[in-house]
Amino acid sequence: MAMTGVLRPGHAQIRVLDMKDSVRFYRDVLGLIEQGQDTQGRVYFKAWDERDHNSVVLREAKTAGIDFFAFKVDSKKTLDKLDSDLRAWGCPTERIPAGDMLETGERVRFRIPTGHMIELYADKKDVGNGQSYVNPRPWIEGLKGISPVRMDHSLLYGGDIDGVRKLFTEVLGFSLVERVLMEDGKTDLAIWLTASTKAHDIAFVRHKEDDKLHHVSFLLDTWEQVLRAADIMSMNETPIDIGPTRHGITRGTTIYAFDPSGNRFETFCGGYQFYPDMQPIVWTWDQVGPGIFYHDRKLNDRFLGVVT
Amino acid sequence: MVFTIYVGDRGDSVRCRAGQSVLSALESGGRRDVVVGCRGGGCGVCKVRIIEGRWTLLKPMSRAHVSEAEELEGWVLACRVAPASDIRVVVPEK
Repeated sequence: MAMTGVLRPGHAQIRVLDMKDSVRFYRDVLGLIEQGQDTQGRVYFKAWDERDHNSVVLREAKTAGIDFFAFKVDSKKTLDKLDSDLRAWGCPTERIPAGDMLETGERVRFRIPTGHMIELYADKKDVGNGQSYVNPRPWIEGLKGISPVRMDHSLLYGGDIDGVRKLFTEVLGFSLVERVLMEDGKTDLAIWLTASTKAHDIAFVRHKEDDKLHHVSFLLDTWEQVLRAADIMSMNETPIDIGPTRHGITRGTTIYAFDPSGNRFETFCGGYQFYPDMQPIVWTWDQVGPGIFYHDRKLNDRFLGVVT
Repeated sequence: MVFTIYVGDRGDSVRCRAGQSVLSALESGGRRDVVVGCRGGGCGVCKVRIIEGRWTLLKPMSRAHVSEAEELEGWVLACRVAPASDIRVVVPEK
């Protein structure tokens, strides 16, 4: 299989209420690597094993939530093609010039039917993962905090997830991997979409308000590291939402917790490999509890109602 | 220093240490009427109104949930504020 077009999640810009507290949290507790600050005051981070310059950008604001979520595409040619495909589909786009974000090329930005701002870009500076490209070691020493491998995906809440599903599958080349049906047995309550062989690169839940963030997720290598992440959260009094537990959907093992501005994040491991010839997995309304939290077998009050 | 948080007008109260958030005191006092969300001032589900007494902001609250005008009327996110005297709070019905 050749992976072309949209490659993977590239960056999330998250709004925080207090930059100083948030930098301390993302650097020392979550354990991302601080990559610099731009003239707008935004602070950039990457996970240790990511090779491109940044994947998480914090912007201080009066409200919490997500400004935009971006995907890297394989080339400038693909960027131009998807830009025109989006316009032809009826989705207006905007070009953000190279250099607006540190070490990041030109971005194509558009608002999807759930109200979220999504971006595509082809270029971001390869700064490496702290290892040589020749004869590297398997990991690096001296990492702080939870230190995930990468920023992996996001779950967004909004109204028109049917429109979003069409846009991602018909224009951007994503596949539907899993879905949860509502009580009527037809309408999607939630969808998990991938551009790759991951079980999800982005997911959506139907919600009364548009443009809401449920969580940005960070990948760990093992279940033991998920348990270690829970220890680190508790040592730092990071509010844990739920977990460690397992998702039925995608099979990931997980913890949900909140950053100092109340933005939910996930540290997880696992899931299965998806290929585009596979048919979507369906979860029925009566099994949504174990679908989301496999061990508790029911949603907690916060899963559907607490978003930023 | 310990303050008293009176809840509503039926004589219910919980104790709150100086610097402890109103949300944390309501939780430790066994109150089930206030909803616990993100504990970070972002999601807005623990919004209450302080109708008597003085309070201080521990950390910023999201303006998506409490406007400046509402804050002047005592509306706050319980996870972000601490009492500076005995206070009385009203928890809106869910």
